[in-house]
Amino acid sequence: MEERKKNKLEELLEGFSAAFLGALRQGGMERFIGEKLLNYVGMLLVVLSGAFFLKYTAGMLGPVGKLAISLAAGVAVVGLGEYLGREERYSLFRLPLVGGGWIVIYYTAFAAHYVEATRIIESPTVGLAVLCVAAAGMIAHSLRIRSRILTGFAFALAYLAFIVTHLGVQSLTVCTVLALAGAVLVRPLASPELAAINLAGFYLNYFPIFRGVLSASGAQGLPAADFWYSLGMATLVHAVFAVLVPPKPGRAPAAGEPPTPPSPDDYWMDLSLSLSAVVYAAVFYGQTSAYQPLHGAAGLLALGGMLTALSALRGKGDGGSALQHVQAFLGAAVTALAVFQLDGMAERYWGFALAASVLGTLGLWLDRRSFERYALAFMGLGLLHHWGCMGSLPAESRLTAVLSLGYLGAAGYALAGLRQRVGRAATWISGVWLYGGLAAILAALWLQFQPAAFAVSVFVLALILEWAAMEAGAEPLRQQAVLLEAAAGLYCFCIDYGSNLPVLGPVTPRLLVTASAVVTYGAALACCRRPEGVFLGVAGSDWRRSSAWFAAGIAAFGAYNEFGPRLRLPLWGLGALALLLLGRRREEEGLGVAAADFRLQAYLLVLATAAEGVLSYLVYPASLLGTLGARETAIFWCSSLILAAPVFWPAWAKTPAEEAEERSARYVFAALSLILPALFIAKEADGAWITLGWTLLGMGYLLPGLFSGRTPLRLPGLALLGVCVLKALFRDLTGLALPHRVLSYGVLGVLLVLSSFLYVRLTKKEECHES
Amino acid sequence: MKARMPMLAAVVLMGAVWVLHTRATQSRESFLPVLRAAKDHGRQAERLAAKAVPVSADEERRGGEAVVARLDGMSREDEGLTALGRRLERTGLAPHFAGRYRYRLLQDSRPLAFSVPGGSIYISEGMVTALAGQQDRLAFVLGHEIGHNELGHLADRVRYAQRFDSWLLPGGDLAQGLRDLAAFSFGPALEFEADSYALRILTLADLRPGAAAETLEAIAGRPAPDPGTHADPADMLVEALRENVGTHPDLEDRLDRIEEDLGRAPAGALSSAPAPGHPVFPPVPSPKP
Repeated sequence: MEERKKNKLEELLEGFSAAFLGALRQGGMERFIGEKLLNYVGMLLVVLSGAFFLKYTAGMLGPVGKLAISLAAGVAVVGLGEYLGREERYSLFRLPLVGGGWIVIYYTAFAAHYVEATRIIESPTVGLAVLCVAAAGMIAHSLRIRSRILTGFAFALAYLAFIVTHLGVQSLTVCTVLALAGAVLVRPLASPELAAINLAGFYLNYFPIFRGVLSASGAQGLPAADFWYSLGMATLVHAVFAVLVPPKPGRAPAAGEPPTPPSPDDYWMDLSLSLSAVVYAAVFYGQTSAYQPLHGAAGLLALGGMLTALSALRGKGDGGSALQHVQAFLGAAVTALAVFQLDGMAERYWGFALAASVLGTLGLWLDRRSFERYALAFMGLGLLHHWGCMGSLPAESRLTAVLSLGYLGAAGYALAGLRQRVGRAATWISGVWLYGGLAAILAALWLQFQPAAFAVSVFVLALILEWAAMEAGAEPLRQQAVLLEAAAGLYCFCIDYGSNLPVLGPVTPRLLVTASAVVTYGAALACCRRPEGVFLGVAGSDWRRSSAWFAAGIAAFGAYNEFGPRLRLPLWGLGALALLLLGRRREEEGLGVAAADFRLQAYLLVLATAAEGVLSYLVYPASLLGTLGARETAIFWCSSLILAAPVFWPAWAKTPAEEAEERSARYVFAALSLILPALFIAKEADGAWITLGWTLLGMGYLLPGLFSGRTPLRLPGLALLGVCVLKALFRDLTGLALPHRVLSYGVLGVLLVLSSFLYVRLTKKEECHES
Repeated sequence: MKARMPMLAAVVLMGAVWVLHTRATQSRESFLPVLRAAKDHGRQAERLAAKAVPVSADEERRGGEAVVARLDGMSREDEGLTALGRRLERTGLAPHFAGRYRYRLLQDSRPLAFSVPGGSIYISEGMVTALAGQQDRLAFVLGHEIGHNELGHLADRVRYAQRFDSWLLPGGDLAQGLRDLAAFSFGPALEFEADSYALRILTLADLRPGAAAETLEAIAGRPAPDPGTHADPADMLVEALRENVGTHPDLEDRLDRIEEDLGRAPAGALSSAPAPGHPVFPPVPSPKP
């Protein structure tokens, strides 16, 4: 089983503990106690004895005397340490003596102002300056004797002294200088603990200022100059450490070579700097949050930008120190907090969009997956933010929100495209950019347009994606296109067009949207390739075929709602005819892919038309239908005639199954072409006039069917005549007086006999021709 | 050419987007178009049932007798209403109870108007006040109620109520309540039909069809609320559920239907050209940005 790859933090902690324990194991516990521990503890006891001596002699001498003795003692101990250090056998005592001596000197400098009994310096600033001199002296001495331990000790002692004697920003200034000096010395001295000591010391000295800002009177009580000054100092220290201290990325290992593992010193420094980055970010955030919100947001944005830039400075690739990752994470997190703190909704929209695009671009350029992930997180936050506030978005912010979402969407597509260009497309990141970008663009369109315009805009987007997929050969774009087409198709059924008044001549919004849908699906079917393989569990060919069903469904639904019961029927009938015509194609690609679907839709639509004719037209209240005009009558009758066209079309079938289907289609359409005018007559006429109209209609189909030898025309005509006879017998004629009934029955009977004679004659002629 | 077709189509459709954005009246997201298409077919089934099992005018009158008896005690005959109603009947669009419609003024301060099976129509004093006594507005209300009668809505309710009678129901208030509910509850589809009918009868009676919208807004006591162009799916579901249990459609829906009927109707499509001086409908307001 493959071992789980450790993340940067685990690596760091593991390396740090290995370095520490390794050092301990190497030296041995006994040697550590004997050589070092006894030495330092002993020297500490000597120093304490000196302090108690001073206290003992306090009553006998004046302040100057006391300080003089203390200083002399300190210098003497330091001198002794230097003297003994010249001899190899006594070199072990050098460091403890020098260190102890300097502690005494430090204490002397401290006592000169801060101890009542020995105060000879009244000014706090002078007192601080004396301490600085002592600190500088000790550090310089430690550097001269090249002692790593003493240097670290000197820095620590200096910070401790400044903490105890804190003078606000004056102390902070001194600590800043000290920290900067420490940063400069870390690498040359190869002393990683110096980084930890300086950073810890600096922030400990910073804490009183930070506490002052956070307290109730902090922000108002602290002068603005001091507020920004202290924040600037912290920023300077962090920036210098982040730039100077981390190890530079080494040479990349050659192919086949294992990468060089980091040294124990690097782990020390990485951990120190990472923790310092967290503390710095927390201090910055806490301090600016306590201040005015706008400044807080601006400050946080600056912090986020700075941390991200510092992380980016480490160079390309995701390898390298933990500090790089910590700064990247902190930069992104702080920027997100800053954006949330921005006052206006529009500013927040742009904040998320710009952060996502900048981080994404940086991540791509520097090959940093972490940057790209944070960029995606910003995109997600931007979309969530939009979802949260779209219901309460003021009108004046709408355009800004639309533009920012559009920008975010464009950035998503651009970054996905760039990733493909540099050969990094085959990761989940590209997919998220694509779909996040799509979501952003859809959100922008949805915000800008009301539903009717939005639906058409989604169709436009789908067409653009289809075209882009063809041009770039990008399968993901094609998948997005078919997904959009399906979603837009469903959406079309959920639009209430309101009063639906015409917008372009007689064209209403519903007609425009329906036409847009049909154009889109038609173009997609006719001109675009189907998606490859299977997408979301559906085969690519089925996705493409679904366009035919969406187009037919939307067109039929649109016609249903747009036109009254009278006009709906001929339009549906003609639609069925058009579908049948489309279904006669045989190409493997383009419209031919959905030929079987078109034919099936044609038959379904014929059934639906016939059913609607009875349900929606025949029984519909005449008072709601409105006046029958010449135009409507013409449309109705002409379309009925046209519906008989399949009877006369040339043969299309090539197999027995297709022949049977074609035969059935002829009968079905011929029947529909008869049913529609029959319904028209039944609706618009009354009583016996219906029978007369039907009779003429039936004859109008029967006779041409007989003379042309086409059974699909004959049979429906015959059926209608049969219905006429039944109606006449059992309904029309029952109310007549006897003489009229005799005449009517007689005339009807003669007509039927004549018809039968003609029928037999003409069908026999047909059989002779066939034989 | 084939490769460029999607882009060309996209450019053309962008024009459609612009037209819809700048000129179209307000549209919104809703499940109601699909729901109402399904309910329309349910309505057609009712009409088929009416053909198969018709309810005669006398049966209808008998169905409403008990209610009429109670309401007549709270109302009175009004000459003005009756004259207006007769004027509407003379258009020829009210053959079912021609000459036998009864128009009563109900003593109630709320704006009420309803019809009882058998041709009795009740308008409250509150309704007359709300409509400021304007003749064409009152005519719309009367025409709407006549429409319920002529389109068979009340006959259908009588048929349902008779069905309740034949079932094993206990007597008393519950049974009576169910009968009344069956007798008087209409759905939004029937209200739309009655509104369309009223527009036609107004036009034929040489009255102002534009009064329809004014009437609805006056009854509601407020201008139609802006439904918002975009809706949550949850709101859409709630709206669809309300449609199933509500008796009247939303004011905005009714106004849209009326506007659609009149705004797109060519002259004469409503069975008569409007008289000179009576515009078909006030100018359509430009779409909201």
